[in-house]
Amino acid sequence: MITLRGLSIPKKIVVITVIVSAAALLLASAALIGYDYIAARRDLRVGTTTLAQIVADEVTAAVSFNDRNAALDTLNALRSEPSLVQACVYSEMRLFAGHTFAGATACPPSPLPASRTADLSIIAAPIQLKGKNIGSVVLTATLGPTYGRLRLEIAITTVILALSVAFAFGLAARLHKIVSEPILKLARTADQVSRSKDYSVQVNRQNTDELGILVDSFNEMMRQIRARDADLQARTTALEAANQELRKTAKMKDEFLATLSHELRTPLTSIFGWISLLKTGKLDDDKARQALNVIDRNARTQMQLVEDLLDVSEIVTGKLKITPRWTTAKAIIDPAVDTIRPAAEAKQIRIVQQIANPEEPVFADHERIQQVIWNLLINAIKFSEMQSEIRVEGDRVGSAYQIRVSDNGEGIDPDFAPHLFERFTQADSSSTRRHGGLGLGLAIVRHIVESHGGSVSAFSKGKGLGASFTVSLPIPERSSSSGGDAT
Amino acid sequence: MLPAVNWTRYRVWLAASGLLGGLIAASVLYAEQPQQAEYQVKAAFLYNFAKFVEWPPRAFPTPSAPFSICLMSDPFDGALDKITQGEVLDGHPLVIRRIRSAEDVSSCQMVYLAASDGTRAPEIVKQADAHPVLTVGESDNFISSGGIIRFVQIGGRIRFQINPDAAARASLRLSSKLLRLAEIVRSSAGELQ
Repeated sequence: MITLRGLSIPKKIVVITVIVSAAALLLASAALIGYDYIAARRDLRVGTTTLAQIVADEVTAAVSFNDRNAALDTLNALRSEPSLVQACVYSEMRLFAGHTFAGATACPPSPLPASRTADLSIIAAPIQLKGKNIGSVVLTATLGPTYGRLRLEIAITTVILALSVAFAFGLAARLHKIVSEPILKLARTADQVSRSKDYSVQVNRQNTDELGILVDSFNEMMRQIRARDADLQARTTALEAANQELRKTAKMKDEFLATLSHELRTPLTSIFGWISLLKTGKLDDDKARQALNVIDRNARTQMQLVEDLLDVSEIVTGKLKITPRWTTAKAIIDPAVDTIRPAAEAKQIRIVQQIANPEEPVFADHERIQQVIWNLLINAIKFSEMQSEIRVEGDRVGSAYQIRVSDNGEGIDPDFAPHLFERFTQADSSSTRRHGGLGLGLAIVRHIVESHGGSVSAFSKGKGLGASFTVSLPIPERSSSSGGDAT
Repeated sequence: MLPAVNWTRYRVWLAASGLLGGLIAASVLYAEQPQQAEYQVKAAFLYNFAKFVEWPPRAFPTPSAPFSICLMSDPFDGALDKITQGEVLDGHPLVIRRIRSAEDVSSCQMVYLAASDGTRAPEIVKQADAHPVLTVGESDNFISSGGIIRFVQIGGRIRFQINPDAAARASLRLSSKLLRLAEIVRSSAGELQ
């Protein structure tokens, strides 16, 4: 059994089948042969007894009339009975006639008592005449022929047994697949999975029995592993993305800090320079005025930076308040253009204003929308060449009022376009960049416009081909109760 | 209970060998038989004949009537009396009777006619012919004169001839076992069958 335990399942099935068949056949054969032996012994005893009785009857006259030849003739007729070795007729207690077969010893002079040994049966029958015993017939029968037959039977049975076991082996060798094949397939698949870590493998289900259930369970387990893997993968991807975002944000903040310190220091350098020149008191009036102008402009620039920072801070913390009221397109566009004009003139840039319907009512936070336009114009001036032209257009389109600021400047790199309105981003973030600023302007623009329920979009034919920014502000239905303010 | 096939087989064998044996026994005899006084053997044979022959019921006036073995002259010197002394056959006590005339034969079941009875024997046989009487004799012409069993001596052994026709006339049924041991002789020709 211990050796059997180490065998593979197909071999186990084959070995068990062969053992069971052999055991069943062996048992059946042993029972049959055993029964044959017992039956043969009984038949021999019964048959010999009958024969002795018949012979006793037949030799009655021969014994009565002392005719030994007649008795011998009768005994001679028994020669065809293979089991007989000795047939003796006794008159009274004396041997009257005897016949022996196949070289057996002669009849003893007086009758032997009936007896049985392993292979000899001695059977006696009385010779009776008119109720009187006048002698006896003693037959000795051997089990020799029976043993011969049994030996033949055992030989035949052994051959049949061998053939049956061989047949059972052949049959089992083929039929074991019904049970073992699905198990082996499953085992091979499981092995393959554990080796290759490929959890996409499925096993075909062929049986509806317990093996089928096993296959189903296996497939279900594989499916769950796959589902978990996919889940894990998704979470990992998400975490990586978040991580990357964090890294990007951190980098952006670092860059922003560098930019911020640079931007804050640049005006101060200029301011301190001119202040030290003024302190000498050697400057003439013209130079002094110029110095004050430069100091004023740089202070304003710095002021603007700080305000932008405050705005962004308010946007981030959600404290930026938009208070729209009814006004006109002209009322919000003109002051913004006027404010920026000196900066434009400094670069000899012409600002072309083209407002289709200046009195068109617009529902907006006056100062914030001015800030939006001002920001867009600052950008346009910043990225425009000297002596170029900037167009400011306004028109109603559907239920919205559109303000467009276009320039012929550097344009927008298509790669940078998607990040245009994000905070702290500038197309050129290197420390050697040509243009100042913190990259907050367009983010503030977008936030303000969107807070109005509107949208802002940028368009550029490409780098060096100019850019145009369009702000679209929705014009709500003007209700009668509205006094101009809306909250 | 008995194995029928075997039984039948042995019956056929035994019957065949019995017929053959009867012929052989009557014709071929050996001198092995112990020499006994001739009449002592014959007395035993007479008694044994009674056991292998069946008499019709009318042979006996009553179921317990004696079985009479009748003799004219007695060559047995008391041997027959000694053998049959006190014996009972099928309810009939055996008795030995001496008869004087042929008329007495009708009340006998068996009659023994010795060689010394000479010319009276055929007369008694003739008288017995119509009755169920087993006639046993030893004269040469005993069978041809109508007797049923005749003792013969071959090679010093006592054997017997049987005339079945005479037995049939006497309404006697002779056992086949007895016939098998005998030489069968027909009264008309007295020849071997």
